[in-house]
Amino acid sequence: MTFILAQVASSFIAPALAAAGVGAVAIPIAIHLLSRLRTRNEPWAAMRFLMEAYRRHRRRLRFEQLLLLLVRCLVVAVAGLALAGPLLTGCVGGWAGGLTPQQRTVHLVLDDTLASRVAGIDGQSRFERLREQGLALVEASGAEDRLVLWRAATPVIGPIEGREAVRQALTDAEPRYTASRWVEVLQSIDEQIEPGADTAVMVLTDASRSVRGLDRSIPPELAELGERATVYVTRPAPDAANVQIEAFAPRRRVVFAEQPDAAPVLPVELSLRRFDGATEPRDASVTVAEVGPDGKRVGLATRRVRWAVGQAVTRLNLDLTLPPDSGLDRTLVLVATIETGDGTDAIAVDDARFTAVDLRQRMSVAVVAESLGSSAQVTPARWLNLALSPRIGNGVIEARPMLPADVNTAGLASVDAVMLTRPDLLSDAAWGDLASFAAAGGVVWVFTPAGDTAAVWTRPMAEAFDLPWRIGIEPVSRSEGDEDQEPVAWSLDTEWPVPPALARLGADWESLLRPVRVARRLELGVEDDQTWLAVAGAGAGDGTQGGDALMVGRRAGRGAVLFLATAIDGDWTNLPTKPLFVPLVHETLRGLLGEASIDAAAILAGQTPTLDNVWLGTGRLIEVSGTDGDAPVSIPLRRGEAGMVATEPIAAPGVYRGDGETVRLLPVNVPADAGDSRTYSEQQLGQWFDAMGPWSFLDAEDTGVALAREQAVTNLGWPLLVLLLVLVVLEMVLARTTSHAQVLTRAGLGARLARVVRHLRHEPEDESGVERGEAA
Amino acid sequence: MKIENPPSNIDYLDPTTLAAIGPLDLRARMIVEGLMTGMHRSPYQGFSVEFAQHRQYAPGDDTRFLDWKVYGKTDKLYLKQYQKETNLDLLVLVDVSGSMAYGGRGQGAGGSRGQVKNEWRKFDHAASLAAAMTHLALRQQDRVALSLFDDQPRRATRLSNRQGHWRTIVEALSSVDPKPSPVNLAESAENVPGRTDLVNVFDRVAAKLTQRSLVVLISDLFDDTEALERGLARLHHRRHDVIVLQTLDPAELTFPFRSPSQFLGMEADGRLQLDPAALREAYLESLETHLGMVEQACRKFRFDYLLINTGESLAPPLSHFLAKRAARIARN
Repeated sequence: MTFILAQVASSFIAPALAAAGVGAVAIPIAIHLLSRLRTRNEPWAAMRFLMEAYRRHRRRLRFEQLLLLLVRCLVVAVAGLALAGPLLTGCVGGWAGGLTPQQRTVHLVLDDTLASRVAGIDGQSRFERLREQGLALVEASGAEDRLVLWRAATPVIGPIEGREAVRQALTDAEPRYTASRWVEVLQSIDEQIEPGADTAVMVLTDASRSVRGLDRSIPPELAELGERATVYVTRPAPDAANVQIEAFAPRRRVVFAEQPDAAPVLPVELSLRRFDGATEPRDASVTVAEVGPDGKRVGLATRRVRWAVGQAVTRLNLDLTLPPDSGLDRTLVLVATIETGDGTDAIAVDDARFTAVDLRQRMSVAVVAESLGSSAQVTPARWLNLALSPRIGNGVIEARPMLPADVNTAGLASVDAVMLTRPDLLSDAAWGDLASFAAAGGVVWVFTPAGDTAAVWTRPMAEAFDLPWRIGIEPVSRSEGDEDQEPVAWSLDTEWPVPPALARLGADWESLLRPVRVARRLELGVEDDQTWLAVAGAGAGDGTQGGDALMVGRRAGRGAVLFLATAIDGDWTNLPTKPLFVPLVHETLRGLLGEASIDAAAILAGQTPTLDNVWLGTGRLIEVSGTDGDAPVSIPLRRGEAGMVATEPIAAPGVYRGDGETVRLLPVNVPADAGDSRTYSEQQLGQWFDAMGPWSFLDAEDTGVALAREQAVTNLGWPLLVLLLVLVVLEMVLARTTSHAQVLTRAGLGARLARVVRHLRHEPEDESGVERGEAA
Repeated sequence: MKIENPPSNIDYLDPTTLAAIGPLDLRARMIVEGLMTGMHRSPYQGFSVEFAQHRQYAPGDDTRFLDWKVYGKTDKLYLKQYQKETNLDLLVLVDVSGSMAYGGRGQGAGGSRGQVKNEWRKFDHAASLAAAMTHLALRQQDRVALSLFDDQPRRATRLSNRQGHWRTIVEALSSVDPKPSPVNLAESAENVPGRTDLVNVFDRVAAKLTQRSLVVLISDLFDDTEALERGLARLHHRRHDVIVLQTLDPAELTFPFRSPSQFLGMEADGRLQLDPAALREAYLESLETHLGMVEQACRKFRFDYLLINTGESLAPPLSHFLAKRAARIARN
């Protein structure tokens, strides 16, 4: 009752006047009743005529009496209400104020990330808590509100519009396995907000550190979001400890059988991370197993790991000895799992990580040259053959000679890599076929031929592979222009970082580079990240840093293209004769082929991958080894330009098997950064949001208050005064027409004035005159 | 109270003035004086031409009946009166029912609003009229009788043309004080004059009149017009002449009330609480209808009818009425 009274009181500027007005309604009623009780007795002779008139007009009189009483009550009540200043709120208030109620757009940004799976003390997960608040906001929103839901985990789902759709989506939603992108979602929302539009943004987040972009300053685009919209954010969830396998990968993506009958040895690296502040040492157990096509796991190794105090990441290197009968020429899927055993691991999904390794018998490399040359003549092709197959008859790399004329789709179908020693002999069509070969996962390595033919082949090469490199068409030497001096060769820049594909040479990198000299080369203008080898002291001929690059490489589709800017020729360089040459060739090919063939190993949950052509004939991916134990997920594939494309994002991590005749497995991992279960503090979150203008924390106990609309308020004082005027006029008209009011005619008024004048003059009053005047 | 050398600008026939004059006989004399001042011949005239006696000329008498021979001999004006004329019987019927006790507020001289004392009631007006008319008749040696009635004759005087008879009539008029009957009908039966009942009165009056007479009915006629018509029909059947003087208070004619009041019937006809302003039009309409029917009933039998507003001066309408009547009789 008190609440209702308070609500009513808040609807007036001066509630007391409103109460007085309502109470004053009793006045005309009381007067009416008193007039009936305290009437004067008037003896009357002509009663029969009065009775007759009364009987004829009794109903009309009663009606007029009640109507007049009603109007008089209304006059009093409306006068009180008008003076009290009633405030009309809501859409009706806006309408009354002459305004069309403005539709409000309410954006609900739901953080359904991996970190939101963390359960609280009460067993309720962060996600469930956020979802409840989201549903509460839906219920609290007005009918005129336009609700938009964004699910902020990668990939972002939304906008989902419509009250029922949003409610249903919230009800059905489950936390996903990826990191949150609600910062990007806010940017999208900001772009959609039209000037002057009434917009509310509700960020339902646990404020975990996995939210992308929250560790940086606020994007400039969001600097005025708080001014343009009403922003609410849930308070950060409590911190939670989590342990995860951050990375799990073989050192080499392609494993070749060094001996035909020997069990392959697979070196793998694991990165193990804990999110608990690292204030205490911690132990865990790591198990690596092979995942079969049916999802069964065969353990390969188990190790104990330990984090020291202050250590968040620990690494583990394992040499896995695969079973001898594990077979070759297939993709081996491994899973590493970690167990802490102390129950402090908040997220279970990221305790497992998958990887894949290509088990290969050998690698086929085509060496394109006009001929290998005679035994007395060491041609670039011979150098390469020697480097590729140092052990006769049992090498893991099979070098195949290929004539430039055979460089076509059919010729390239059976090889893994192509080494071009005579690019100047290729046709444009051959360049096109090479580009397609690289796009499908092949490795194309172009060597500069001796001679001044660069102008002939560099342009079609660059066009075929869409290379951004600037390649000089004239070979340059260090002493060029000084005829009297002996040419001075360049040495290789040992300061240049080791290319990722050659990481295994890192330990000997400097010693391998030091003896290499380059006398002639083609100048290259290349971005630093594409430079594999560089010459020292060359200087940037064109003013760019890329002027000293010697060997460059870049991805070309699913494969790669490499270019060595010097010829495999003694007049150009001593590289083929130096220890660097063989490991450079082998590791480059193995590294690039591994990346190309097992590119799918980098697939993360939430992605929509495009699988290479080996997946042709596969209609769908079926989950065989999930992490949740839920029903197996099936994802259809469709044919795309670059291979088979999943028709929808792969939501859950695990191992997926193609339904084709050939058994193919696809590992899908949890994004490691999504498992950071630690949360930002309220202060940190507040500092981030402060940069965008006004905002507020969402009250978890009363979420709906945030959407309590700042209602359109209209003061009905003036309209009520107008109504009061109308009622007064109506009362006068009614009173006159029903003769209830005292009507002073001119004569009556004159008589009254005369009486006043006589009174002032102390003259006796003429009562009859007054009476006659009033009666008239 | 005796009026001596009254100022010439005072209208002695004004109800205000008359109300200030206590005794009825004085009022009546003043009325007669006033009437005679503006009248050239007597409003009453007999039905025969057989000479009976002479009487002294009075202002207003028809000069055709002056006896010029006597005037030549005695230098005095005498009228020749005839046998039947002297036998004119004038019966004045005065209504003393409860409704005649009504007097508008503030109408009486010296009275103030809300005070009942010194009100000029309809009965006062009627009594003054009756006294004046009988005085005139007696001055003409006509036989005069008075009958006071409400629902039945209450008091009556015999027919006489004695000069002292007027005193009897005045006493009879003074002895009656109409009282409004209580609202409750059960209480009204015995003690006070009740409702007007013209049929009963006319029946009894007609039974007493043995020869053709002039009947003057002074009443507010708050009775059914059918009863009035039936009564008039009986008088007409017996060849009596009737003058109907309907006395109504100005308040009854205008209904000037505006404050919500409880109206109490004065003839035990109930009470009514209402806002009078709301019903004024309807009341006046109803009254108008009634007055029209009364007049129509009188016209039907060729009787004279006069509506008298008790708030107005007595002289002008009455003298005008009597003059018209005398002229009409002369024409006939």
